[in-house]
Amino acid sequence: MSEFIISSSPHIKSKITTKYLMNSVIIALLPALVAAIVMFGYQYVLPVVLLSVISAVLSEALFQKLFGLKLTFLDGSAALTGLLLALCLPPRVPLWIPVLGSIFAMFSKQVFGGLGQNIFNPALMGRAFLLLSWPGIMTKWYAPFAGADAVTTATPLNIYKFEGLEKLISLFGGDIFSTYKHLFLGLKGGSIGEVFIPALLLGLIYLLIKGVISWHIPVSYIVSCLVFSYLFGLNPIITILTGGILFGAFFMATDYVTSPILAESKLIYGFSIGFLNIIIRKFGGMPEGVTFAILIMNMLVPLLDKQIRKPFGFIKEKKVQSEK
Amino acid sequence: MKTLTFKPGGLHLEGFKRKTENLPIENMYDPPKVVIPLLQHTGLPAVPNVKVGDHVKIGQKIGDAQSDFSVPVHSSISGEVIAVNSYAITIKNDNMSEWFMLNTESKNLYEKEELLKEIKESGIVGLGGACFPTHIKLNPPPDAKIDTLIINGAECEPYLTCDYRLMLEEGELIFDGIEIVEKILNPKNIYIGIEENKKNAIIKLRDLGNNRKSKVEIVALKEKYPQGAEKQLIYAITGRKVPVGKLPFNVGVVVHNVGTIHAIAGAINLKKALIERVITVSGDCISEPKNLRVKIGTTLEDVVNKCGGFTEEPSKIIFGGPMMGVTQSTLDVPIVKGTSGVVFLKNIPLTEEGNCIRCGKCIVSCPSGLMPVRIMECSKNNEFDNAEKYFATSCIECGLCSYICPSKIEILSYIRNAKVEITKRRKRK
Repeated sequence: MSEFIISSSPHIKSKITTKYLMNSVIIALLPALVAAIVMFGYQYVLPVVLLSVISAVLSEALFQKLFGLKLTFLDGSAALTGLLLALCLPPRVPLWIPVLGSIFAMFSKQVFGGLGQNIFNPALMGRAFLLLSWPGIMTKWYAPFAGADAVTTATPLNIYKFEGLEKLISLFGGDIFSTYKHLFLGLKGGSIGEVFIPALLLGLIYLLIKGVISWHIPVSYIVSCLVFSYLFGLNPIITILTGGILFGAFFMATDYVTSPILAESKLIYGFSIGFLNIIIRKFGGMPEGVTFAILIMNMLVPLLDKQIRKPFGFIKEKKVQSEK
Repeated sequence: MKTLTFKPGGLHLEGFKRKTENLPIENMYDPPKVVIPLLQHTGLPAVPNVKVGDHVKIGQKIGDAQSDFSVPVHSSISGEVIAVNSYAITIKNDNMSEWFMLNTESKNLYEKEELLKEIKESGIVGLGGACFPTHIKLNPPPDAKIDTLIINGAECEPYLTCDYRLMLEEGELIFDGIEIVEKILNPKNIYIGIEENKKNAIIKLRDLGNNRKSKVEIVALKEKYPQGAEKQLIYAITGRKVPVGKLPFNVGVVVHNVGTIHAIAGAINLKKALIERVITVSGDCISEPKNLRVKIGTTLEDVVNKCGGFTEEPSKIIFGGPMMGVTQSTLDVPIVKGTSGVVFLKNIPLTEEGNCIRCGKCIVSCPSGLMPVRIMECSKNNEFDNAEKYFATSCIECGLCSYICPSKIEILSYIRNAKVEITKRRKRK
């Protein structure tokens, strides 16, 4: 008779693995990717995405080797970072841009000790690095369905910030509702993955139904954007439909590793990101703000995580007893 | 069906109950020998009152309770005592099946004190797995005002169906047992809580209750693990929260497992000491899964033979369910009072522990409302004072945190470690 395994309970495990969760987010991003291919053209989208993903995976392997960490570069998390980074780049960037961005993203993750240890969202670190190093390239936008001889265009966010609401409405059919519609359907300049909002919503619904993420961060982030844009005299609907707010709220701010762990803290976190985002948009030099709003709040996550959850059946009078 | 449940946390688990839920309870033959451990309960072990060579009969007391926080053990077969040591008594079957005659004159005429004494003398302990001496649980401190009795028929562990079969086939005895406990505790409300996946048991017991004009209310519970955990069950049914560090009687509730209630009826009405129990034999590599009534002390080897052996060699043998059960290293172990089932599993995936990705799933699913990942971190860093601040001692060890962890970290093992250290430190103070 052979030996039987001795171990402590539980003896069964759920089928959910890290890989499964990462792959779920990748699947949730596929609608946005397909929309991007249709709208911007496969020849401008696929090379960027593929190079970004491949260089993210390879550089994670390289850094893990260099830093003497466990080799886990195939667990889907590096691929996800590469995909996220690609989707928040402008279309038609030179192909070394996603490569450098992914390498920096992976460096920023591995330097803290790898998956689970990194303070900052790697994809956003990659994007921030690119934005600060090559601002010209990173803010050169093309409209969807523009064809091979396309000229650069301003994003609605730019128009709204620097030329005003009137101008934006005049560009999008003359009335406010047609403007909303155009923005919602992504007929605007913007990053590869962020323009076609129905695809983002599809991805969000998938993640919520699958239980991969909870509603707390997306909802609090967006509500906060609506509230503060209104308070600061911006049009709330246009605010959330332009730029990367929805993409950021659904896929970036919800990153497990760099967001708080308790539901209550998640609400504070999302709400604070929204606030910072609007502050940057209203008063900052840049029209966007998602990247830095999230990165700044990433730094405060350890603080938000200090909260201790009260257990089931907890009553305060216990304290009084112990003071006796 | 309207169902009740608890919060926070909990998780619907795949039940694996189909393998045995439709199999009637089968009586296993008396094995050639039994090994009866002296400590099958929480408390002090029983003290042998027989010696090698003695002849014993079925139901005869072979070990005395050495204090009030202890229960006696009985022989489950008739035969000769062939070994006595400080852990167990081994009896060889003489195949005479002789019963030890008990005093059978007074039936159903007991007073509370007598009933409690009889329950203790019959060796009854909580059969859900905790094995807490039943006579102590039935005798809460005088200042505790018990108004509610809950019978736990949730059976939320995967694979196990023995309580279900008991409710379905021997419901009358469960009601008899409830009537006895009613005499002792005199509660205002009596509930039997059953998970909704055991619909037939719910219907059956409701019918029985109606026929007997019983005041017992059968409550359907949501199929959610750990629905049968004591505090969670109390909250689901009564809405009362047992405070941290307190016991059910502090909120006026006493909970007993259906198996225990069934055994009480057997002891008082049928004068049978606790010498047998129903277990579920299941898993993914046993030839014939069964619900089996076995004599306490039957070795696992005999049980496996009764169930047709293995289809494939198991890699894990679990006493109890797969969420909270205890692994066994050999088939040469006896079935004890607390064995609710034996689950044989092959192909246990040996997964490597990954990095915590801070997904928070352990927090969301924790029925005690804890932060398992935090306690794990404290435990890893030997920061046990911090672990205490995160209420590590409120952990009920249901295992959901380890179960759900996508990085396959044995979170519960770290929490157990913290609990042990915290208890040690408290004792030192």
